[in-house]
Amino acid sequence: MSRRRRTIWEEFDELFNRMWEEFEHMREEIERRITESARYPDWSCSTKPLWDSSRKCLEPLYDIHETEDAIEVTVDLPGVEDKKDISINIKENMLEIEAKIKKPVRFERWGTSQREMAFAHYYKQIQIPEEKIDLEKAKATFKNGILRVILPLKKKGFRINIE
Amino acid sequence: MSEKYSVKIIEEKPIDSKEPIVIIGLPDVGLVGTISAFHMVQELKMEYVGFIESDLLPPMMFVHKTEIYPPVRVYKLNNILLVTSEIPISEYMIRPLAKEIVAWAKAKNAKFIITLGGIAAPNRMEIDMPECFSVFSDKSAGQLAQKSKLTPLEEGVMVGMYAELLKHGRRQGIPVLTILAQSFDRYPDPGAAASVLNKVSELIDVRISVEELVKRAEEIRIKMRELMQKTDQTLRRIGKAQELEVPPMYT
Repeated sequence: MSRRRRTIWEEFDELFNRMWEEFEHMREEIERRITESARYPDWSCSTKPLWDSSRKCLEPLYDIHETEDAIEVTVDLPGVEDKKDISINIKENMLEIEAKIKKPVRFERWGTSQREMAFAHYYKQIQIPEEKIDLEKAKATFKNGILRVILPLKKKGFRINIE
Repeated sequence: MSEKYSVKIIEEKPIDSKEPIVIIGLPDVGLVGTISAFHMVQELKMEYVGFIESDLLPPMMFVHKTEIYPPVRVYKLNNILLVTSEIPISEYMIRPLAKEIVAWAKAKNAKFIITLGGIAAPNRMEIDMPECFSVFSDKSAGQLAQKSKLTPLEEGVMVGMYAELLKHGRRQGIPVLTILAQSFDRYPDPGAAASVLNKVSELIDVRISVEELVKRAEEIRIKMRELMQKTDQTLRRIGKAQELEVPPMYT
């Protein structure tokens, strides 16, 4: 007994149903993700850990603040003892900060492979608008483990005095 | 969203403290509350007695010395009950959690609630000994602040969990005293936590040595970076920056 050949409309119906099912799955998945990220946003989004096992370095916390005259960047560098252990460079619109931690940090009991790691320095690249900065006048201070970098902005415009 | 989901304090061990003092140390500015609470747990060897159960919390457990713990927990020492968290409290959870804590404190016949936190000080780098300020829900909490010579915050804005606790505390007749130490805004601040704990020590009449906290300050700053980063994201979403603005009231 030969099977009846399906009509083009039946083929189309089946294809449409399969596509509809796929869309339904996608919709459910999107809905699930939206609900999850709304309920516990900071744990469901993919923030990367602040350490890099391949470079054996920690990523420091930083803050950036722009005023009319300058961009001020502060970087939290606990464990760094001396300003001589910090290097600051600006290249290709990046402020690059590297600092040596006096006593390498170990998380002795944490995780599986991480427990054997020792982190000996910090490394961070922060995007900055290099062309707007007066690089010659940039300066930095280091106190109580906090690095503050002041990047003065190039003066633009002309001041008009009121007579 | 908050009405759809429940927030409940689950007591895993019996809490039979008479007229307890409830202390709250949650992730906030400079993680002052969390650092203070964790130090209290370690220094006073407080006992783990319960946790917060909620659909608004991520599905997670923390492993410590091979034991498992939920992220938001309750500890006890005699008549002191402490609520702390390993994760930021999301904007959706702030209101129902504050409501639940105050209702729970009321059911326990709590004497008062003390919250531990920081207030961003732009010149924190120049401050060696952070000063503590107070915000209180009623007269009796105000008297408590006066007793430990806390400078009252005369004008300002409170945003977040502690604002909600003050509100519900006043409604439910439970005195709430908020201690705020001058702190770094976006960096973990064990120094500010030490200042807060010195005041708590006076208030609850229990000696809390901060020697170890000061000694381990750098290590704490390193190990709390990830929680600080996540807390910072939450605080920005709830408009915490408004605490630095001049309030329009009385102008």
